[in-house]
Amino acid sequence: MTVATFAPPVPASDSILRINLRKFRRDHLALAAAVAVVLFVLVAIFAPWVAPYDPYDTDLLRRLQPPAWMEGGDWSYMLGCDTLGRDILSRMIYGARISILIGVAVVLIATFVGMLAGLAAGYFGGVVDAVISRVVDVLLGFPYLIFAIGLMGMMGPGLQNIILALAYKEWTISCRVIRGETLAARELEYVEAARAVGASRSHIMLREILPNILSPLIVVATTRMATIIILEASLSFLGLGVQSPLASWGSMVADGRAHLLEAWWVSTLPGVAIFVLVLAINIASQGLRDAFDPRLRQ
Amino acid sequence: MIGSDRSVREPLLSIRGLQTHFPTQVGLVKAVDGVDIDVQAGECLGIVGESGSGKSVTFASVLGLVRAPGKIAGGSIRFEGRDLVGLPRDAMRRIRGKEIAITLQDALTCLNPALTVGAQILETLKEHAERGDHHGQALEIMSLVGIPEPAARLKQYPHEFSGGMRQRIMLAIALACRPRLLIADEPTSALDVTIQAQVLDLLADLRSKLGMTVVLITHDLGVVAEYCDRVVVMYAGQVAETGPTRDVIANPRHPYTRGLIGSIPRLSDRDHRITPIEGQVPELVGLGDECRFASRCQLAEARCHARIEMHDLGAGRQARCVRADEKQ
Repeated sequence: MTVATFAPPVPASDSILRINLRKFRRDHLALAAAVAVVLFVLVAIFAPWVAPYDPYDTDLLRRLQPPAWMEGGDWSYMLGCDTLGRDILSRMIYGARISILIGVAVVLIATFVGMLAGLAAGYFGGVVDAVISRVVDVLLGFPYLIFAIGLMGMMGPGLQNIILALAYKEWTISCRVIRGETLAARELEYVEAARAVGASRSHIMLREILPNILSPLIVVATTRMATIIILEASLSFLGLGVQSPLASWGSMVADGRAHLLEAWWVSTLPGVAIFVLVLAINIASQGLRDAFDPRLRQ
Repeated sequence: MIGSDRSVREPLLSIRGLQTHFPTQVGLVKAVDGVDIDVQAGECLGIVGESGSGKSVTFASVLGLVRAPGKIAGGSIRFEGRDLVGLPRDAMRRIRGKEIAITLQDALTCLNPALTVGAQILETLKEHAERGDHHGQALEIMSLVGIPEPAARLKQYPHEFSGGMRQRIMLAIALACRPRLLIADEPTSALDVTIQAQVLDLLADLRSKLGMTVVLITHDLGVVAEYCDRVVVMYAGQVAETGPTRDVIANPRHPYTRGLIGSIPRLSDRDHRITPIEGQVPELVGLGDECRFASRCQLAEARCHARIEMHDLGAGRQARCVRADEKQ
């Protein structure tokens, strides 16, 4: 027998991820925010070429020099100078490197660890789930900043230690999300179908379940990046982050504290940078969430 | 008919005294309670019964796909001489999809929405087949199940296919490794009636092309009548009647089979009134040896509440009824 089939033109294929990204592109505010984030990243990467001066060069004659638009300002030092006469703009550009590097590193490590732990907890259940979930509960019981301060106190300051101190707790966030999504996904028919053709457990977890729960994972990771950047600034502000002379936005805010009345720009301008970057990341991640979450679709 | 020389040949799949139980809060549910089914090589065997009759669970047990806390509590399942009950997980995994394939109910949700159709077919091949031209094999199987432009279609995602096409892809995945036995669990229940016929014709066509043995699980006796050599009628976790399809439909020996046939609407006879079977399938908790259909049976009598054995009626027919020997 023959089966009557008609052959419509085969349209270009589209993954769900690509469709979602196209939806994201239609959200102009989120797109603008994403562009701003990309600009920050580019500036950070190309800091040595973008920055007008060496961020570590001190010049006591220019100590607390105001920004260009104020009286006593100078366009060659657009955003003025700090307590040691270092160019604030150059220091902010180098500071972006620290903030973004730490934000990206912590989120990558935490997402990877959380993903594996969450998949295992959600898929295997039972004892594995009980152990992982209790560890997560215990870690979530600590206030974030206090926990990080404690760890920094034990490990000592430094770039690598600040990344570890934040990642130690951060993975619990993605772990919880992934565990919940995996619990739901493992009951779906296509997972059952994969088992029926003899797929192994690692194959089911990594190839069948993971691609379907990538969207929430991406949204959580970007949202958390903003939080991490604030936490890093907080630690550096408290003197527990990267050590001088390395410039970090948090430590720059701390540097200008004593002169807030006569030279407000020393603390305020790095603060503005933190604010703008975090806001841009939040708006962009909000747009991602709207594009990826089918419940919000009209 | 293929099933006629059954006494001579060893069956491809032989289920004996299968017990699959699910502990629940109201008690132990014996979803499959002492089922004997033989599947002969090359035949198309139909399994019919209402929802909850145990037909799907029986064949999920064959592949070790019963979900915890359910488990196989007894019996044997022999496939080509090996007992599948208690087989280590890895050994079972090598049989699934390679030697015995199953298409699950509701094909529309059985495809992974995040992977291309090609990736999903290739996965089965990579899992089981020796090295070789997997891509070519995937193309071949796509054309075999009647999908036009297979090369372009392989790169598409499930949401870009219609329901009937998705069912064909499910078949392609199941058949990728050319299994000896295909278990098709309600292959058409999610499809339009017109597409149902296409898919069933395709299944019959593939069966003869690939020399495959097919178990067709359905609740539609009409489908069985058209496509199956033999039929097993299941009721409340047990086999009610079994035999060559033509004989069973022409002369059913179990009142339940008679009821099923009576509830099929007929186009040829406009005055024919559909007679539904009154009542519903009993709760599968704490059932004894008595006839499980007795509460709905118009012919029920005192001896129906004693132990009911399977009656061998000759010519490959069996029925679990005290009056099985009586002609209608």
